[in-house]
Amino acid sequence: MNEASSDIIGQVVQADIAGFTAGWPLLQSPPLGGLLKVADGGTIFAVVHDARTESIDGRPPVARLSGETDLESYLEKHPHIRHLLQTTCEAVVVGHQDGAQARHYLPSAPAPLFAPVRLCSAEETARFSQELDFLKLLLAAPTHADEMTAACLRRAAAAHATAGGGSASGGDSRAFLVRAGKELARLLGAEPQRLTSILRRVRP
Amino acid sequence: MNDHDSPVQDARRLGLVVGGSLSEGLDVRLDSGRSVEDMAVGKYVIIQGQRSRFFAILNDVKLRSTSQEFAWSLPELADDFSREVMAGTATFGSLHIVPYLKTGATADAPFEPAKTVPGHFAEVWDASQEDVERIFGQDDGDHFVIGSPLDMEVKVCLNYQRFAERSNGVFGKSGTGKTFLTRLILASVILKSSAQRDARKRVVNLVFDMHNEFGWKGTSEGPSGEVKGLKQLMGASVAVFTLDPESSRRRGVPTDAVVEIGLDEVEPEDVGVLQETLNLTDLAVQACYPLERRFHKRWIEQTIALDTADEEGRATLKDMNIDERSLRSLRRGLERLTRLAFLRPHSEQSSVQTILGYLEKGRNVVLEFGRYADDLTAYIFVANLLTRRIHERYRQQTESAMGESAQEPIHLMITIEEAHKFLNPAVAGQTVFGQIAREMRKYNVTLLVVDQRPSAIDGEVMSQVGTKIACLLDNEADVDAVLAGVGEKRELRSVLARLESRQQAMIFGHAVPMPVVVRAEEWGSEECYARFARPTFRERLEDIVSE
Repeated sequence: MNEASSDIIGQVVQADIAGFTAGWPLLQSPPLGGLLKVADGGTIFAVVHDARTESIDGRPPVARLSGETDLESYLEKHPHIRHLLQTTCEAVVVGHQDGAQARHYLPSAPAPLFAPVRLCSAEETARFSQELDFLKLLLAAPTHADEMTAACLRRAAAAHATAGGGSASGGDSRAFLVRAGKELARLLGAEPQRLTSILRRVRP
Repeated sequence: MNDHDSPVQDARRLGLVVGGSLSEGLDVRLDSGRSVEDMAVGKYVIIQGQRSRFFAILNDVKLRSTSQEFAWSLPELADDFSREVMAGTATFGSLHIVPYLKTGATADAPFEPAKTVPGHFAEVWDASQEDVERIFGQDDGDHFVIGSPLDMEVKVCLNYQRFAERSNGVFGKSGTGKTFLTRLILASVILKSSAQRDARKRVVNLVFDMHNEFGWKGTSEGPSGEVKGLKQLMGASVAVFTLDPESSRRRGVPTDAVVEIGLDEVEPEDVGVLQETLNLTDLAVQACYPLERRFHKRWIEQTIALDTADEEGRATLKDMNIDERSLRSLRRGLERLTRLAFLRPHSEQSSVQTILGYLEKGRNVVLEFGRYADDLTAYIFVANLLTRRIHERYRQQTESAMGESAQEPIHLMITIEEAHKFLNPAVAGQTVFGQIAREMRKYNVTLLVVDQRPSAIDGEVMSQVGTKIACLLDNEADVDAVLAGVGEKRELRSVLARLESRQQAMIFGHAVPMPVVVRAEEWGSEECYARFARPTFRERLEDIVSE
């Protein structure tokens, strides 16, 4: 995981109010549950809930057995392939920056096309997840909502541990997870199975 | 919430009001940081409304979940993390509380009965010591300490004036500490009465001490096996009378007078109340009246001596319209009665006069029954007979005071044990006690009834009992009887049923602004004795000298 980097790692290629698709240089997908920010004028925060690598013309690449055991050496031998494939990720919008204040609800406009996408640092992740109102938006993600929520919370918990001085006991991280768990319990009051499956995935 | 009316520092928030009604109480969602295990029914809480503060009692604790099936459909959650997450969110504790009193926004606004409820999401806090003190008053001229609330160190007081104004009751099954509470109440009333400057506020006690527990010393389950009685502590303001001087001597009790009753003082009404204990038929009781009219003062002896074998005796009976069976029943009863050693053919000194003399001087009288402790006939007979005479005197005196020709007598509080024997529906109409209970303090006499079977007491009498002090009762009917006429019956019932079996009591009614569960003051501790003990002559002299 590239925690400290906030370099541009992709571009918005399709967007609506609730989410966007970002295109990435081949094979450099951000982690599931990672907090992204799209800063172009305003700032929009989103969490990765899906990623895929496919051929640009929409046809699935045909497997060729040519002796290479891994993708890198294969691409080295067939450099044009690189241009026929692309990686995209789907992110669900969880908030935006309003002046100095992070808002944990949808922005008034979708992310602009081709806007640069960055992966938030641990510090930014910790700051954004102080408030947990965005969990409702996470749970409503169209795919992998539970897995993504769990992944996002694990990352945020780790970020809180770092932000809180990285104490060996993980006090901050546990307190964060309990707080987030309580919010989830409130949101998933009618769906105990979902709740417990997420809790089992984030248990410290 | 403004800063100035937020609850005091040491209080902690319990949760938020989420629903309910004035008639059925409020539902409170417990904050996730508070454990249901720390709650106890009977606990006091404060509800901070927008403009008013409410004082309420906790009377039920529930475990709930957001949806009915939620908790059941969860897989086993054995780990601490999941349990911590669920607590207060998907599953939470809920409290059921009943608001009793309401006060305005300012800290010193008086409490008044709650006639509405706070709004949704009003905050609920632990009640602080100051709140309890403000409601029940402090130990001063008008209040006396009865105990402490269950989870606080603060004292709960009864209002002396309001307590004395009405008849009161101490109820609870055997062994729950009725006697200790009664002794504490008597001592407190005596102490407060002696501090009153206004004679009309004074109270004098007459205690029919069936088991010899109040006068000089009482039995205790403590290490010493005994505790001091009223006279031992309070000296000359208490006089101990005895029906059984031998027993008193054996127990080392210094008595002030011996009570004897002359058979010539006994009236048919005095025998009527013994119908049940002497197993008399209705007709036998009716027969007393013509017999008394015929034989006058010596009617009891003459009735026993009446010979139905001879012609003259039968003629006499026929003359009075009494059949032989009734006479036999009555004679059997009267013979049993005359075997009581304190009954003499004629008593030179009128015990009623002696007792009245003490009471008029403001001295409290405890009448010990000695060996008659377990003799219900003796107890009912003596208590009823003396009270009837004393009540009659009080009635006359009060009436002449109304005509302004005399001073009102000092208010008299009569303590009776086994009260259901005097106040059951069958005899409450006949005994003077039923009359006293019903007429409130019209003639300056009220009762302190001590009883373990309140359900056997006439409902009309129970409804007149001003302040009820209820120790543990486990019989449904008894609980119902004690709570009859109380608005929050269902709520209080759950509190009453969970009292500990000793030294805990729920007090409600006239002398307290709201029901209260207390751990009664421990009678027998040095601290307690010190509160009631009169300074000795020497100590008083030293005080005067030092001044």
